[in-house]
Amino acid sequence: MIDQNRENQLILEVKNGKEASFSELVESYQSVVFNTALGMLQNNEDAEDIAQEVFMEVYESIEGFKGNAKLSTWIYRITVSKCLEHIRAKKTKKRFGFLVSIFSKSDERTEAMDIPDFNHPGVILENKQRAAVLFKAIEQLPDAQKTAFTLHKLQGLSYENIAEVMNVSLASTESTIHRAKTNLKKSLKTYYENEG
Amino acid sequence: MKDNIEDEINRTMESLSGVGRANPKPFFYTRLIAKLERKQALKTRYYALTPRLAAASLFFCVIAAFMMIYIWRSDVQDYDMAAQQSKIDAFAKDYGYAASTLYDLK
Repeated sequence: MIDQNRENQLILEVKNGKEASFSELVESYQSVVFNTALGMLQNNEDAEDIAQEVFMEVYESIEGFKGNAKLSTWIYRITVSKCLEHIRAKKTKKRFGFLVSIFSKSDERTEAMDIPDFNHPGVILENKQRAAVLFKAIEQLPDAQKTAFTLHKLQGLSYENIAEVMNVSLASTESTIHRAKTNLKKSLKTYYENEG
Repeated sequence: MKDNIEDEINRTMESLSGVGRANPKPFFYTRLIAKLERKQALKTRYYALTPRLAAASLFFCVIAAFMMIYIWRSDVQDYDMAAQQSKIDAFAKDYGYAASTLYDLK
């Protein structure tokens, strides 16, 4: 991350079309954007596509950035909304998957049905299996809970920062994360009871 | 058994603690710029399809349609008046009036 003065300068320079500054901005935030997208989408290719879309959006709409929120908060907001849009589009596609499969080739059919376990590259080897189970449970959470939990657990954002990104009160964020943890524990309990 | 499940749940919940950062594929910025340039080129190509231009075209079509109707109606009116005038002339001729307009008849 960059300090506030450099950030303000960077925004001005990008607004004036300085490509080197845009490159610096991308360099500074690409890890944050990619990791947030990866946590929410649980797919490397999708996360990379979304990360690129986020920076395209940043480039195109930085002219309208008034500085009411921090640059990082604004970038997080764009990332989260792009991820949620992607998840919704994927859900819709899945819902009509059966209908599509009737008219599509067999390769496309298997692609639509096949949802592999997600292995986050940053998880240490001994936790890989457990993390995959947890990611499956996270995927089942409602959008707000998934967003808040991912930002907290994977990005290490404080509740205050999450509240800013999600544009909700601190109390609401605390309650959302609490509900997310409760729901995750319920899902995991069902999983381990069925497994055992 | 129950304690065992509780333990499994807690350990799984903690499995993402201290997770490391993942990195996008190399040349992220280069690919981003290429994508941005492609998008800008497409935008220029399909500039004619922007909503503002489409609305302006529609506006001009509507204006042109109204002008056509106006011209057509004034042509019809001119034709009616000419027909009326010729009827008056025929009537005046039949009855020996020298009136040239309808008002002169009164």
